[in-house]
Amino acid sequence: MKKIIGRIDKATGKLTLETVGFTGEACLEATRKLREGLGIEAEPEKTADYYKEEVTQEQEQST
Amino acid sequence: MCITDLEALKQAVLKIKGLCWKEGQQTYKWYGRFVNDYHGGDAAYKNGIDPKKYGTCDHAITVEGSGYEIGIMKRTDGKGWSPVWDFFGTGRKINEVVGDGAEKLMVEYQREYVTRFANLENMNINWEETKGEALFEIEVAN
Repeated sequence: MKKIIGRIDKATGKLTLETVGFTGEACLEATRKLREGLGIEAEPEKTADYYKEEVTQEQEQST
Repeated sequence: MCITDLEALKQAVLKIKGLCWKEGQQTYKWYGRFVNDYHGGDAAYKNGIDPKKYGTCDHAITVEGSGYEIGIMKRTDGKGWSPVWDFFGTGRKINEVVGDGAEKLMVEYQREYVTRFANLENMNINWEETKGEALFEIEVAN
């Protein structure tokens, strides 16, 4: 199951988002609407899942 | 704080004791004139609000115990609205209720916004509360 997980810090109001089950650009796309709607301007931090698709492509190219 | 969903903001206001939404109120109570005495990073004039427009708004929020009010002003960057208030004098009560940087209002707004977002997108959402955080999980269909 793909998920968007969020944490709202009650003291600061800071919201952080992460995705589960997405790879590559889909990680960012999954949260894009939420980020835009909430006015989150900071560039999302890219986790290992973001690079999974690219690593696979590189492996394919090198074989 | 950037507000893009006024309905979510109205619901957030209902959740905070002492706040009351004033739909379409075009002025908010404050000191009444800009005396150029505050220059912090969160000063309204440093965040796209023209000092000549202080005191005007699209909607307002009254705060129990304060003689001043919160104005909901359209942002000059066109992204939505921002809350603005005068935190000197009787305005300090506003800080007590919503937080110095509107943190408490932001938490409730985000909670409402995210829930409305999931409902509109027909996604299941589950919330979990801890003392310091509000946690949510949105299930995204494949």
